[in-house]
Amino acid sequence: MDWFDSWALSLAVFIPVVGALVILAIPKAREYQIKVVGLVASIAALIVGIGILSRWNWDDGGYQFEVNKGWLSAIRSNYHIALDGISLPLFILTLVIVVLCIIYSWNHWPEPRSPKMLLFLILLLETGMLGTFVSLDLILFFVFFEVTLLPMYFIIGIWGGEQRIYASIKFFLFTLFGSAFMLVGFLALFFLSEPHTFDIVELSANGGAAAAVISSTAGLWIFAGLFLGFAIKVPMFPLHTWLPDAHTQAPTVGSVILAAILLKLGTYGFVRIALPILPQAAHSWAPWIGLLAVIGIIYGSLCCLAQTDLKRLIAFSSVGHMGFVMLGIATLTPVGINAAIFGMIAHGVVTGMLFFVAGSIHERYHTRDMSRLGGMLSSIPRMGGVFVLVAFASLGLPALAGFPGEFTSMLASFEPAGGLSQSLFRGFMIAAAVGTVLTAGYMLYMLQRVAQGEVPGEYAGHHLHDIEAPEYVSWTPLIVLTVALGIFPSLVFNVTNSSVVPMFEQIFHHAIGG
Amino acid sequence: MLIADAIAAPPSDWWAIAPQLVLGGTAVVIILMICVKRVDPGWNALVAAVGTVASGVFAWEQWRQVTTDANPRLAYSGMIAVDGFSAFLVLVVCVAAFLGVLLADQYFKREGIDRGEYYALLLFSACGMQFMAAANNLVMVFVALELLSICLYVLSAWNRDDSRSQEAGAKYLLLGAYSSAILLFGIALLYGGTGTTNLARMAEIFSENVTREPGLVLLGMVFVIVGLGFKIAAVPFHMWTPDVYQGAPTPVVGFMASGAKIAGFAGLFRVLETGLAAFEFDWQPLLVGLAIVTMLGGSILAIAQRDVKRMLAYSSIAHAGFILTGLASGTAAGVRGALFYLVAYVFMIAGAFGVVALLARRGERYTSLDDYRDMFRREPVLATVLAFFLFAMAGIPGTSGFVAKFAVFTGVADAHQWVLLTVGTVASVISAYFYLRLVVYMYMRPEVDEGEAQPAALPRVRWAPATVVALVLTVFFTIQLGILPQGLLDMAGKATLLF
Amino acid sequence: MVGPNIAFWIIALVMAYAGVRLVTTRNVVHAALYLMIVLAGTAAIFLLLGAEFLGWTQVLVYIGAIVVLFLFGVMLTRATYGESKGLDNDQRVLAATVAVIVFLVFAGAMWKAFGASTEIVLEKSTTVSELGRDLMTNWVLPFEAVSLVLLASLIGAITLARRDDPEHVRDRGVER
Repeated sequence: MDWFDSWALSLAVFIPVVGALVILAIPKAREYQIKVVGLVASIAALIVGIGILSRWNWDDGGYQFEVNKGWLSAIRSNYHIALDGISLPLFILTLVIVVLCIIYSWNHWPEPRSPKMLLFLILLLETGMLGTFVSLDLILFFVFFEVTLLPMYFIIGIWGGEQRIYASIKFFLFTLFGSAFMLVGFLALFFLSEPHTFDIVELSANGGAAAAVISSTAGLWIFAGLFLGFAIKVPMFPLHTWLPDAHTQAPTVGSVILAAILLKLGTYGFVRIALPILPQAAHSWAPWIGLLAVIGIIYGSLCCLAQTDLKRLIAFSSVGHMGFVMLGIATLTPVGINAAIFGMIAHGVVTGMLFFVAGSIHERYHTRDMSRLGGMLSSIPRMGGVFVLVAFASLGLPALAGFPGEFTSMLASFEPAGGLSQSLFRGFMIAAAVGTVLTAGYMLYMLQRVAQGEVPGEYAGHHLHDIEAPEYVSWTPLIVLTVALGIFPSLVFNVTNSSVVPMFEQIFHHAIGG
Repeated sequence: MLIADAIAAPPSDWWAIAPQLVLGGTAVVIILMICVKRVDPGWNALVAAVGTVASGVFAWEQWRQVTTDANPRLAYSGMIAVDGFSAFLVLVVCVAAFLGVLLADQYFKREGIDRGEYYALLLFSACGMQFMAAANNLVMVFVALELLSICLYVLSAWNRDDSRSQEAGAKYLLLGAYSSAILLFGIALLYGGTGTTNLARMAEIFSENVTREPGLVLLGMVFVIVGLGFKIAAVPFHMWTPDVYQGAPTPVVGFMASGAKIAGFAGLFRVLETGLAAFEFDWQPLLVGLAIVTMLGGSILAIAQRDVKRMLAYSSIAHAGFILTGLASGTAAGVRGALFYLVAYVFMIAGAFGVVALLARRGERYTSLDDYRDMFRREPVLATVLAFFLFAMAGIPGTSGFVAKFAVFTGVADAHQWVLLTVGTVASVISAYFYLRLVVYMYMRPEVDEGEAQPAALPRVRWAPATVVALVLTVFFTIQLGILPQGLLDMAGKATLLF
Repeated sequence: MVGPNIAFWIIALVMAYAGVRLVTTRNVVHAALYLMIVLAGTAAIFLLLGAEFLGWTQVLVYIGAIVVLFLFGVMLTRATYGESKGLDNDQRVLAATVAVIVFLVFAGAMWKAFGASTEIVLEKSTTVSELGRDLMTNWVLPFEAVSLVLLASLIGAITLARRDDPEHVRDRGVER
């Protein structure tokens, strides 16, 4: 199976785009064929992903399935892809979520109805996301990172709500603005490194070297550029304003993919690129990142309390949850990074699921205004039950997926990396703890308004149908994951830890002095 | 003494000017065709297309020779150079002219102004551009510039019955003549300062450091930069661009926007990098400033436009700024990036204007943003192609536009000019906004706001085979250069080294 | 070298006066005549410098052709012969300022470059035969390129000016 080891990643990344091109060739009228091709392409990619899992060496924390071929030799950028314990969970999550999104859409397509175009964009998006997670070359990373931008822009702009044009342009420009600075940072990294290289592995080795290759002042500036690029994507507190608009306006599958995966590109960028390559600069910036993270947690939660729109509420809750992830990263400890990756996966599963349910609710009630919703548990009890379950997971109830990540993240900030102010980070921990309380508060408030109580009069006479077949199929895996990750967090922690620990030994050993 | 001793005819280096000869010759053939018997101008177009291809074959052969044997040479007493740089750009001019010919036929038939002379003038103009690419003497630079410009003035005014076209031609003529005069002034000053118009000789003089007085040379340099700055439409010498691009027939604009820029940059690169290389520290800051205002000016002013042709005009100004940054970086990587950018730009701009020409319909009535409302539903293929070119121009990865911007910025980063780099990236984000807005109109705004006119219900656009070929070519190369740009990057790299 | 110097200064002063009058006069015919004086002065300076061919070309082309063309233009169009307010405008101060600045910049550059040398250095006097020989050997390529320029302008002028011969206008189906 040697060929599989060298081709698996490329296959998984590019099968979706091939599927997308096939879809493009099928006439619009043959809707059924289009849907089948879309589903088959995404499932084929998932099967390759399962193949990767089956051949994964669980004890090896290094890169696996590595391919390093020349690509743009003129600018010394290579087609260097691989997976390790940090990227593997995100890679698999992406494969799963896209399949589920396509299944979910099977019978309800957002207006204006065009399965051809939507599937084309989703598959293109999948290639971009998968590519970002496997790239070990800055340029390759950047290309895939940007490739995700266009499909999401169209998904929001074409199938979004009333304010879709505003939301899509805001989304696009914010991200492009950030990535412009990111690109400047990448170029600076290239020209300040000796020998010039875009290779993330080599640059990380430089970053971990005893003698800093990149001067500390330059490092601070470059880190700032990368920070802008990644923090906008996460999104972190002052740069988050595009997120509620994008989420609220996007169609259901758009919101799900955006929440479950696209936001992770930012945090993943921190873990994969910014920290290992510029550990000293990361150390200097860490307190600020931590501060913004906890502001995000508190601010996101408070905003949630003020929302009336269900999707907007979930969007703001994302700001808070990603704050926990960033707090974990800011501690610069193996525990914190592990927590961050777990948090990303958990947020992907749980918030993705929340958006699914919110979409289904919107479809049934034709409104997302929480003051007009209510009584889901009595009118559509099964969906109400699912909603309650994922909301509990989101608020961080132990034994569900939301808990381990956030708890570990706070644990990590109790004992941040050497050289970081302990008292400061403990302060952050307390603030984050307050955030969890607020989170519980708004989630319960939301449940009370949406799930409990009486069915509002305007829907009294209507028959609201409960969960349908495509919804069952697409939700079951996520619900299983929500529970499984809560009970067996080691499912993810074991994988990530095997890579995070060696990374820290190699990179942060000199930079922070252990 | 009336009869002087016989002039010894200089040996003619036919290979050195083969591409230009072929283009000029084809133009003459077209004129003769018209004189003998007026046939459908489509035949003239066919001859012109064959001519550009033939010229391209010769240019390719030149390229092969100078790169494999690595013997760049000067020809005709140093009037023109045959080196990687010239062969590369001569080839690019062939591409631009070929696309210009292909896109013209359908348009001019539709407008009822198809006259075969169009193709002759287009080829003459391309011939001037090729001379410009090869020019190694300031006099040659000037003559080539006049040849290409005069043809373009006429082509801009081609639609005699359309006052917009007339106005465009007149404005272009006036400001073009003005810029030519400034360039000529600069050439005179450089001659005054060095005693030669030969760029290679000029460089020797500076390296021997026997220049009488740098003041004269510096003044001349500024004038030359300003004069050529008009041609490449750099801010603040861009005022003519929006009016001319808006008024001139769209296929002409496509050709003008690509060809005239190639020629202008060829002249600028050659004069500065060869003749005035010794003054790099003087012209570099100038170019940095010019590049910054051009990028920002083009991008910001484009936002205010509601006419698509005008918007693309400002976008082409912004592109000129990005190309300038490559030269302003003063590095080989930057120049390589700029050359790559020129090629990518030729395909993008020709394709974009090609689509706009089709969508504008007879009489060029539909060019405002509102006319593009919901274009995707009405013309799905054309709208998608246009959106693709817009994203390419915005520099989205996967298209040649991204690689081009990236290659240029690489040079800038190599020179550690972080301010220029940051301004460049920010400008590219700003420019993304107005490209996006057109996409929004085409894809996302089916409903008509109050007080706005419903887009006219029109039959589907018809496609002529030549147009299809041109659009397929432009789309193909825009993708190909975006995903596998290695070959062209290598070529561009060789083109910079073999000066 | 006293004689040529005196001649130069006389010519230069006459040219300067004619130049100023050229832009200040309100009579378009006078302006053309002043222009002729300026151009003739230029030709005279060329002659003084020993560039006889250039000097006579100046006379032929500029005075013989261009000024005459101007006068024809004045006569054939409906321009007023006498005083005309249209020849003046509000921006004369600005224009004068720009002109003075340009003059100072150029004069400064020239002065710095050549001001020190009082001798006029003529490396060789250019005769017509030498010019012709040069044009046919070293400069043959731009010389031929200029013929392309002329051909192109000719074609362009004809196509823009000529009305289509009705019998050649084919039936062009209206395509939208």
